[in-house]
Amino acid sequence: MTGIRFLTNEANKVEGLAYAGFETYRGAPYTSCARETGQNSRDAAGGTKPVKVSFDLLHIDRDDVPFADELEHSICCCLEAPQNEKTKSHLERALAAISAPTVKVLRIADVNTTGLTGPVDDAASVFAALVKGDGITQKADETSAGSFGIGKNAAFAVSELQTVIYSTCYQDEAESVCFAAQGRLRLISHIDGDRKCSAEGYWGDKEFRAIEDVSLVPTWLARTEVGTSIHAVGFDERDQWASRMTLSLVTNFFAAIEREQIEFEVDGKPINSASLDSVLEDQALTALADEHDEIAELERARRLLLCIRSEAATRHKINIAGLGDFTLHLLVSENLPREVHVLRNGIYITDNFAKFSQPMRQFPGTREFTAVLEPSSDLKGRAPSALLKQLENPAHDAFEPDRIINFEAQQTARKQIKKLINEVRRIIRTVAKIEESENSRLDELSEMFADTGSTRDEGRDDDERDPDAYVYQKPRRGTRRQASGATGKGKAKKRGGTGREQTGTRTGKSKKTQRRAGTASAVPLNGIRSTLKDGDPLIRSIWFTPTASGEIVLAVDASGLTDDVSLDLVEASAGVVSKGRVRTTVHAGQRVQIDVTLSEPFAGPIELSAVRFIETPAEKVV
Amino acid sequence: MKISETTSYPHPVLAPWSTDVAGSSFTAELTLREEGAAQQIDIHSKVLLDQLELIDLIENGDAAFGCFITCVSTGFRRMQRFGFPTGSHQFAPGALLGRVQLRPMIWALRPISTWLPAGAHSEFGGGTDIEPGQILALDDEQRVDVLRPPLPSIESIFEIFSSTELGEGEFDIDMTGDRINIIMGEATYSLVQGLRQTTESTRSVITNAMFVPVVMEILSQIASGEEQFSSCRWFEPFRKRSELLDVDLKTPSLFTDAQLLLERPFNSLSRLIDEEETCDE
Repeated sequence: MTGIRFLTNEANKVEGLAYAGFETYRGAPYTSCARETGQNSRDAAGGTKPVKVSFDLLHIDRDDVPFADELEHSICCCLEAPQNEKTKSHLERALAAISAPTVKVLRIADVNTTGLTGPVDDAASVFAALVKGDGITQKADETSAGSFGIGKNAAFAVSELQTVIYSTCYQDEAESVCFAAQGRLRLISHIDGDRKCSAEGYWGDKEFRAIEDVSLVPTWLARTEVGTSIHAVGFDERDQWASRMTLSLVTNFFAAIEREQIEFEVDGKPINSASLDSVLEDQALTALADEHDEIAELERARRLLLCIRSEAATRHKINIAGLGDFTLHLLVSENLPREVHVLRNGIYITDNFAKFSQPMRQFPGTREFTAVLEPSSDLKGRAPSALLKQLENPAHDAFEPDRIINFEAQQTARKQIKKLINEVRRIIRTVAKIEESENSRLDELSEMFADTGSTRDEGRDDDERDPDAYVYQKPRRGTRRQASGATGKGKAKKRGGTGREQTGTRTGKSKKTQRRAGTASAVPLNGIRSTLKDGDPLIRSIWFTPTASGEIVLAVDASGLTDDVSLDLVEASAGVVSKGRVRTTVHAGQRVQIDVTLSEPFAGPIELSAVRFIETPAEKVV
Repeated sequence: MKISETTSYPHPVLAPWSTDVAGSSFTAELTLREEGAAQQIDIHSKVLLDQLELIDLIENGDAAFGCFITCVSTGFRRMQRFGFPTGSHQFAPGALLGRVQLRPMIWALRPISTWLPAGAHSEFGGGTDIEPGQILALDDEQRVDVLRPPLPSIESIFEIFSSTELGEGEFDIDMTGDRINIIMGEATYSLVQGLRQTTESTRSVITNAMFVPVVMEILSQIASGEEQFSSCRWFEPFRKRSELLDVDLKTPSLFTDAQLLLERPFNSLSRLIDEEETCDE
């Protein structure tokens, strides 16, 4: 039977609400929750499709929360335990949240991931590491973005009940999809009846086991697709929670999103490679970032995205002997702040190696630039990525050499990082170097003291163009190409696009096929439409409205890469087929539908043209 | 890729000239902009699309918006994807020059089963299966001429030189040539060049620290006998500017007139500092 069960507090340990794992993220709960859960999903990528993570606020009827009564009871027990005002206030909020008719739940669900792989009762499994582990990680990849296994606590920071339920589907060794769900909660140590309870409890099957039968959980906790859902129960919903999470996601994951490694959906709004620009430039998000003093992070994300995406940026491979390769993206342009930022796994980390005495703040003698440094994306980047992971602090904002305990390994890492920074500086000095010459004109004074007119350099060509500037016209819409033989304003180009005026007549002899249909004038066709009949690439249903009456010859061309290619017709539902074309009688303004069979299958776009039929000896049908 | 308004696709294509999909529109506003002195060219796009199924396809990653860009002068020819509904892309310097043609379009990224958007013409029947790469919407081709402007006719009458004969931190002025040459030691020269090319603030600092005393010295030397410089090319532009600003070259007020001729450079410096402080607040 499912239920909540707290650990027994045999030692009478006094446990308050301020659990270190949660407190780490209290200062910026939305920002931390978005980053840490996004990172965990990114690390669990399965297959080649981008990881998709959605953040949704659910309003669950209390009756559909199977542990609501038990949790309410436990909170009441906690309120009876000795506590300070802050704890009492928190517990009262929690009691209100679980007693309300509906319970707010933030669901963070991912797909295209491996899920929390089991077996669920195996202490070495990913499921056990996430649900029951403290300070451990079971990520399969040594280069994964997460390092400490404490990022999972960020979800608790947004739960007023300090209760998180995990549900997952994963493939076992036999590739069967398995379901598992379990909850973890942390209140304060308390006494329930005659039982001394620890602060830490679990919701699940008996004996602290996970629930593995999906029918035993309510619909909102069930899932069938491989992946993981994290439910922060009693979500602490504050103003603009979705926008604040969006801000955190785009400022941390912009590179992974751009590279289609991950995409998000927050409160129904997608954040993917298509929408990334729009989200980063969104005025409301900019105002929010300004309000929460995160405008620098947002502007930084815009700059770094430009740097990794720009074709004007240069890319440099940096090989560090004994370690591997890094990639430096360097964009030299005005109004950039001379900065180097480090990404790992497409996630923003920091802008310095200060703990290596390499703050990377000063770059004298260089033009303005922005640079992005990251382990290379190929196999040679794996060891650099693993090293950076070892050096990264839990807040993911600094690299600290003392995190490597082994002295020799630490010294090696110091040397490698310093060599890396030296190489980064060398590249920047070379590429962004301020031009040196023995003399230079002071162009900044030219507006005041111009050497103009009669005093200009001898031999100067007045038609000379400025090599350092461009001018653009405003984009203007081109003239639409008209149907063959159409009259009216505009230039009807011949196929092949020479831009010459078309006379509206045809000689009847194709240059490509040398077919002759008699000298005839083109008949404009309106509303041309075509489909593959029953999906068959050999038969094309064609519709059109002729602008003239009489007997016409219809030709179908394949719209090619640069030019059109004639398609030979072998059969038609109306008219007569001759030399790959259809001759038929039409009436001006009357819609025509005709099925034609091609000599070879073709499923692409076509060009349809018609000429008035004039019988010649060569064209006589016997 | 040849894309034309007369082409008939075997599935509904939303386009301003087509009746394949009624009641919806697709328009892309494109702007070109040069960023900074390094001549990067940015193309910015803003899409106006009200066909909900197409919007869903793009937002879900099943379709993409972009432009087929061709530039005959540089041989540039590419389908460039852009963000939706707004996006931008920065091209390498010189990639686009002369006539640039941009054809906005939406195309499928993944197979779409029985594509039949709302408003599709009845002649399309029950819909068509779409393969990746097939065009779903087109807008009119847009053309931009990217040109080099005529070289500005203004050039400075001042030039700085490095010299091994001058001590560091010392300046000398040579007014006997076509331009006024400001000469300084090699390290000083590098410092001046660095400050000139660093930021607007440091450029402004240089104007105050170096150009003001230089112009004072020029005024002083002209006042001592302007005929000695009348054959120099720099003299006429300098005289004209002085005349324009009512600076009497025969009896100048060196400190005041130098600031006047340089448009009170301290103002620009203090303005920049104010702007930075405002940004910091």
